[in-house]
Amino acid sequence: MSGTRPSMLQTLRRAHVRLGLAAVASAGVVLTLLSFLTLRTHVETNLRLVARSVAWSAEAATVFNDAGAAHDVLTMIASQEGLQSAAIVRSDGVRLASYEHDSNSTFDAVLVRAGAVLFPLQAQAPIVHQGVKHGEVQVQGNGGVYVLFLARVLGAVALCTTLIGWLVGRLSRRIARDIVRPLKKLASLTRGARTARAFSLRAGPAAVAEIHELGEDINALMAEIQSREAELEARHDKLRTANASLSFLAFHDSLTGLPNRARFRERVEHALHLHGHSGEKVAVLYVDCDNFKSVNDRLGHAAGDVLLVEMATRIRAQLREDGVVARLGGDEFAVLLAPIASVDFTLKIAQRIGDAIRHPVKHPIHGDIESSASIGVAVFPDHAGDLEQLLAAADAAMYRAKERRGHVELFDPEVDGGSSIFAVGP
Amino acid sequence: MSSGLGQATEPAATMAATALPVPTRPPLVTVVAGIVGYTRWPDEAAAVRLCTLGDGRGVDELLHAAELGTAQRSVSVRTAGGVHEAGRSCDAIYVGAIAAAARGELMHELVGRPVLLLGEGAAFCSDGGMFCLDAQAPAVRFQANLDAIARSGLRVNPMVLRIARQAKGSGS
Repeated sequence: MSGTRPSMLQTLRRAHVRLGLAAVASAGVVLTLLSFLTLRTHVETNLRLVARSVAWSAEAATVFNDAGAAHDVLTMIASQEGLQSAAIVRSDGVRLASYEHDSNSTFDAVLVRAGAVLFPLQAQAPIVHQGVKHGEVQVQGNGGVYVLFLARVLGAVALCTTLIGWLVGRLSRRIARDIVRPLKKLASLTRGARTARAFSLRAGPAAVAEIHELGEDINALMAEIQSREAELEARHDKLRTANASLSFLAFHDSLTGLPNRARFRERVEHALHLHGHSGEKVAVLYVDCDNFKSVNDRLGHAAGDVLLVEMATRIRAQLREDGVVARLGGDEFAVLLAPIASVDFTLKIAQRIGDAIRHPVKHPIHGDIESSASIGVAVFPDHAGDLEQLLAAADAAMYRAKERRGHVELFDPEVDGGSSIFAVGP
Repeated sequence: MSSGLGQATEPAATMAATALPVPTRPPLVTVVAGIVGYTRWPDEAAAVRLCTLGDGRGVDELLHAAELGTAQRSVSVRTAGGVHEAGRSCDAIYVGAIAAAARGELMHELVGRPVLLLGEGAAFCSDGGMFCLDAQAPAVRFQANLDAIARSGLRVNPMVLRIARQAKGSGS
């Protein structure tokens, strides 16, 4: 969510605050106006009644022109009714009696003055006796009642506003709990699924039906994605396995499980690259079974295969863990030793391999099968400058060994035509 | 009720009079007109005959005031021919200064008859008069003899009685 965009909670809260204030304002204004008008009507009616009451009570006093009695009546009623001022004026304009409210506190005085300024209230009533107007009562109401009323209204509005604020706060909390928080959870869920591929996460139940439904939908979607993902993963695994077995098959001999020629070339190349720079020596041994063809012809292919597997095992047994044995094809095996301590030691290993193969191979049907191997040894960089030269040198040495059967021969450029081999090199 | 009755002061020209303005009268005439105005006779007549007996300033002022009534009920003022004549042909009698014997005769004559009896001095009320005016005071006061009023059969508006000092009381 962008920082400039308001959050859902803010939007809702703003809407609630506006709604609440509008409600308070409209209700407050209308009610205030109505009750003010009603109050004014009542106050005016009351004031007229008071004026008439004074007129009636002071009628005789006015007719008899009795200022004392008029004053008594006027004072009694005016003080009881809380009038601001009142007067009885005779028809000839003479003021028979008058009353003035004296404020007994400053607050009262302020109230009365404010009321008199804001809401001037006056009423008159004639004093008539037997059809003759003897005088008039003039009363002035106390506007303080309006000021008090307005103060109360303002207080009520303030109270309502506070109440609305409190309610909005509560509402916001509830909305946060019921709507915003579940939505945020859903958002983080989908975000997690997108960024961390966490498809196993599920939305919990929500209080609001729509959000709950949304959560269920997202859950269903996630489940679908998860199963698709799992299916894809499985297919991917299968492909990888197939690919691995294919690549194994491509680089290994199926009979003995040894690397094949292509693989061997890779390994030699790698070894040359690795040790060529550091000046260490790398040796390649070509091992050829001397009597494989005759065993194959005499005892059958199965016996030949047994012989080859046994040879592979025996060659392997003579080497350290990092030694590489490969079957180049037919009865031809190759060994990579990298790095070698010395040429002599390498020749010793070659001798050990030859000795190991010279033991008869036990066959369940044909009994002991006699066997021997001819081994050619070539050393980098003594005999060759690169892969091809090294393999050719080992091959050449092996062919020379084969002439004498069961021997180990080190490449000799003099004998094996090394000049011609080197001529090809760099 | 504290002070004495109001007396007519200088009228201000500001107050506009209505259809029937209150005529400017001496205080005594005002009081007499007020009492008459608030009194009801058993056989309510359209006109009230006010007679005077004896003489004095009050009698003179009343006789000078041509009309004390209103549009609803006129009040005529005249001098009565004598005690008997007054008792028979008057609705209200204002008694000025007369002989004590004549006053007693008048009281006797009027027993049980609906005649409004006004006079001067507190003694007039104790002798059996209904309203006794005190014209000696700076303002005109009056007292009411409620027993006499009740016996006469006249109905006097209680408002008048509130203005009046009770016969026994001294100005309350």
